[in-house]
Amino acid sequence: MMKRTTRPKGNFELASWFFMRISGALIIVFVAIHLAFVHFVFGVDKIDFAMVARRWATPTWRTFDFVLLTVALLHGTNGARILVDDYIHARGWRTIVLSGLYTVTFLLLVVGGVVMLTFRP
Amino acid sequence: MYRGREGMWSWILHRVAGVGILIFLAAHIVDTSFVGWGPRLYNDTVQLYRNPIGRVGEIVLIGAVIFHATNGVRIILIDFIPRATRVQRALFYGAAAAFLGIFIPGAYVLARAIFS
Repeated sequence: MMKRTTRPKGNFELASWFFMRISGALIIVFVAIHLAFVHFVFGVDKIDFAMVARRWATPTWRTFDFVLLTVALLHGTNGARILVDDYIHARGWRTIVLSGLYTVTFLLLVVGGVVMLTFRP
Repeated sequence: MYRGREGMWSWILHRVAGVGILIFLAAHIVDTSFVGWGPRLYNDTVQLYRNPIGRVGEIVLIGAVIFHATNGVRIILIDFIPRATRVQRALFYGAAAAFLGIFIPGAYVLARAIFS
């Protein structure tokens, strides 16, 4: 038998695999509620600043939106990371694209999170 | 056989839908964050979603989300329930039926709203 020269370090990919399934199940519940309310009970033509202000007056909805934002964005970024690993083989490009991906994710989390948590109508 | 069979297509579609949803999510976080700059900027921006292209995009979006969700449930069942691999083809058609059963009524309601 050939001697193994490299061993996988840590359990990051296992944690990632597990995270995708747990967060995916959670997102299904949250997105179903989000879509039902925003797209079907209200509808795109009724969404405006006043509607967001009314929704975010309730801490429950604000927390709901914050959890959905964070978990969905992390699920999506991790999915994109897997695609980058699968399709971009050149080391330099992979580093550049992954750095860009993580930077954009970080900025979106900060901008989205700060606006959501500090919003006052 | 995997290549060219149900599993391969759902695998590809799962990736394509995932990328599409992620791009929309990024745009959606930016547009929602505009509420922090007052009613005018936000109301002008969400106006974009009300034109016919935005409405059709909304239907494509819920299609991508519902597919990613139903196929995701199929993946979770196969990964966590060992016996599920024996009925994997039935699970594929079950997921496809769930997709159509949710998407068709949803798309109908959203499409009807375009013309009202």
